[in-house]
Amino acid sequence: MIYLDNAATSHPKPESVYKRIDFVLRNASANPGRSGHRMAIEANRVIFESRESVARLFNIKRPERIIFTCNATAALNLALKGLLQPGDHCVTSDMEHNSMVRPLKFLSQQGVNVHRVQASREGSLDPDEVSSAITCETRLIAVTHASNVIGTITPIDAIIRAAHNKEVPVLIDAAQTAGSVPIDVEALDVDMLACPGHKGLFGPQGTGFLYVSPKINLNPTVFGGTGSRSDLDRMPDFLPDRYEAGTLNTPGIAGLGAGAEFISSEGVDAIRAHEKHMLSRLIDGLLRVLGVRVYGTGDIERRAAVVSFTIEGMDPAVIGDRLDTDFGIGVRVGIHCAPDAHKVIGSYPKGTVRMSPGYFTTPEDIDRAIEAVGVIAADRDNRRHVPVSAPRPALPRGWGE
Amino acid sequence: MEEQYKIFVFKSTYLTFKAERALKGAHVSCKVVTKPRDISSDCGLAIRVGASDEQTASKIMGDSGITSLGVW
Repeated sequence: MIYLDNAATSHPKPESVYKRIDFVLRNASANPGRSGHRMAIEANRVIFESRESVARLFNIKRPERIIFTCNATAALNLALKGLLQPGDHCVTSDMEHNSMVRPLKFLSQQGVNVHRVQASREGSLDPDEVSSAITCETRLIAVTHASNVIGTITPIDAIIRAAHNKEVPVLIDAAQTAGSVPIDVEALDVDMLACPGHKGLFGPQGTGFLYVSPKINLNPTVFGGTGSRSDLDRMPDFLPDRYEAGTLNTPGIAGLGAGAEFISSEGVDAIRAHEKHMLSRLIDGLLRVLGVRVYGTGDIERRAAVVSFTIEGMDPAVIGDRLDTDFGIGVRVGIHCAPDAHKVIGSYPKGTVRMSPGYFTTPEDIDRAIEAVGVIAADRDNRRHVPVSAPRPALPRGWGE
Repeated sequence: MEEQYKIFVFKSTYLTFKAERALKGAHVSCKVVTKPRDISSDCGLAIRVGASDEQTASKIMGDSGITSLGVW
């Protein structure tokens, strides 16, 4: 299969990730932070090393302020619900994923005032407009680092500077950039960074984290056992324990740590360069297909590895189905959990076809995807609805057919 | 003769393992152990070093910015 759905979850993972998870699941999957026997201590060590590896990748000087979560959504929920109180004002954008939209909607029903700054049709957010939206009640600016629909990269450096000038902290949703676009937490002076473990960081699903700077004090949103200060009936006041109630996903976090180490070894710049190469090739090729419309900016430097397109007169769901069924190409179609972003770019309610290459995508994969889109578009033009003669790639054993 | 140990206790498990890494990096023999019950009712962990290494261990941890809650 040609996998072009890395914006949803990266695949495949580096070999070291598979090996680390397998090893930990077999040898060190006792409960970290609870018991004191050798396997539990080793599980603890696994968590510790993974936290350190993630910290190195993002240049985080205080690794204990990395809170492991089950995904970026949980990280965003902790950041938003842990900080915002009724009466607070929060500035966000209309390019956000539902992982940001929905908790903010819930909080708005609790009395938090949410202001959405409009993005341009290319999905760009103007730092001046963000700054202008700040009021004396603004407690947080919460924005995505890159649109999950069209990949447009938000100028977070300028937004953070503008926000800090007014003493307002910033929460960055790095779901589409963590691991593939350089993020230096110290240099950017990031207040909170929410990341999935299973996308650009190459960990398994069920992993993610929230970095919380020493300037931010959140209320816990999940309460329970931590293995520390067990004599108390409240959460400990130190991190990461304060926000990590319940048994952690040790094998998953081990995989996340291996993913972070792989990225550090390869270099984020090298990963970014490869993804930009794939992105250029994909966009150039798609634009040559009659009837195809590609959304978002043409400036590759301002785009994460996400490409949304439509074929005039065709339902994205039909395109996605044909790509999978006739060509063995995995993409995502629809509104990608970001309805407002589609309203911005003019593709609501049908949405788009989204192709998201990754570090393991090859130029040949891209060429075959472009060729397949060409065939589907031509079929539409010729009103031919017959199966294409292109050979169908074999699926891995045990998959379908 | 029974060997004498010192137990370093930290605020969090994270700091315990940070201390272990610092000590092992400096080739000081140490072991992560369960906190003795007479030190704390907590179900956390602690670092055990040989009694003769107490001062060295304290210095290494201090140099690494690691503060212990105490030594027993």
